[in-house]
Amino acid sequence: MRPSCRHPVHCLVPDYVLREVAKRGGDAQRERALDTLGRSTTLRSARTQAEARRAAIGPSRSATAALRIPKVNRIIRDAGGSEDLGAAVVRREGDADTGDPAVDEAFEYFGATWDFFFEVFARDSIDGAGMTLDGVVHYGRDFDNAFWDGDQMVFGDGSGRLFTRLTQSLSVCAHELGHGVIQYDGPLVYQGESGALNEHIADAFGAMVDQWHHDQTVEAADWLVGKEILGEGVQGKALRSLKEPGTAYDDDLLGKDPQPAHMDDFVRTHDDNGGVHLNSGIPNRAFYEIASRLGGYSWEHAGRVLYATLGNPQLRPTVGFRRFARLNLAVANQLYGVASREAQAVEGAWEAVGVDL
Amino acid sequence: MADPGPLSVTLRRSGGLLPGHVFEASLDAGALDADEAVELQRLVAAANVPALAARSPIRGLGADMYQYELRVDDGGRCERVVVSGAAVPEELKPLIERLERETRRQAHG
Repeated sequence: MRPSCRHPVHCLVPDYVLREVAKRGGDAQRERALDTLGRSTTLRSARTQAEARRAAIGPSRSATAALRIPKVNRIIRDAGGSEDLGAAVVRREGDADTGDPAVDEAFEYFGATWDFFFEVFARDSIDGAGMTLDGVVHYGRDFDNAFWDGDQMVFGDGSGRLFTRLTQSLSVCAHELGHGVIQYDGPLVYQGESGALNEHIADAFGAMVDQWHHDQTVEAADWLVGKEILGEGVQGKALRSLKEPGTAYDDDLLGKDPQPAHMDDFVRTHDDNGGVHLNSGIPNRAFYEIASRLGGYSWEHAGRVLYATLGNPQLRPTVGFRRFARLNLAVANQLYGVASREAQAVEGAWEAVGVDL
Repeated sequence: MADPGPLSVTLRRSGGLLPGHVFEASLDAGALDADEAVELQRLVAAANVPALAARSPIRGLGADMYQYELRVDDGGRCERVVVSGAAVPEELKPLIERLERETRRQAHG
């Protein structure tokens, strides 16, 4: 049963519009907007932001016309080989290309990722409220990594031996931005199984943004993350494969991709916050299974269920695989109906990777 | 009374985007020249390792950042500190940097 709503118009209006009403409206409007915002997580879990947006740009277009139109706001900083996260901004929104590939790639791929979240999930930036996308490039020397630090997305240039410039990869940029979305919507504690789910969802966002940007169906997509960044001579195809975890690379320097694809191979370790980049292979494979069973575009159904699961108020920060899978199924049942094709795909996918529901 | 033994420090770095990639480095004050041994003593003292060990594991916001596990054996007293994410204390960074330099030196022979 869908939740009731005392203010039908607000129930159709996304959070970013409600926030504008709360800021700019009269007392009565502000009170109604804040009241509705308070219940927005329930709304999101029930119908997803995408449905709210579709409704908002339809019958209620006039109600939103007077308000700010959400648009991306990006800044890129150049650390110049230092580890200064507050380095000078070298490109802002509206600026022309700088000619520095790392700066321009980060700028472009942040834009593509913002577009994905807005067009597909009606989300205005990382926090859902227009947060500036703040990126740092040329971080460190020979730095073979990219990360989300809680506020910013940070990219090294790579050593050339393991990785090349990490901004070259749309899926890596989207992965890092995705961690920000997870922080604001989950959050999911970055440790053990909840940490692996955090990594999984960031990978799924990375893959979906790449597929959406290139208009690829589930069947046409390669389901790889970071295929552009492996160093010359590295034997491998990418950083990770959602379709076939454990097959992304097999190289003298990197070793063999150690990601499991099934609970039988779950890795217990103290390293890497309890193996968050290892065991994410299991839910990654489950997500691919859901998408491949449903066909079409990954973001339409598999992605919709995943995004609604992330935003569900019943998602606990320390959730494990089993409870997450159960919530994933409950959300599919709620969105599409019990025993629907979509719900069956979710149930079958988690069983296929050995997670008992 | 037996010699409690010299200071030794081991760093184990894991995490980052690449699954399962782990670096380790060790420094043994007894194997360093005098100046380097004094500098290592200074870095360990400045990090206040016992206080950090009492708070370990120290985790913060962020993702894909490195996890550092430090083991310090100082005259027979062993301490272990795990820090990750954006939570690496400022006082620990110089010691981590010294050991990362050693990691790079060992990696390049």
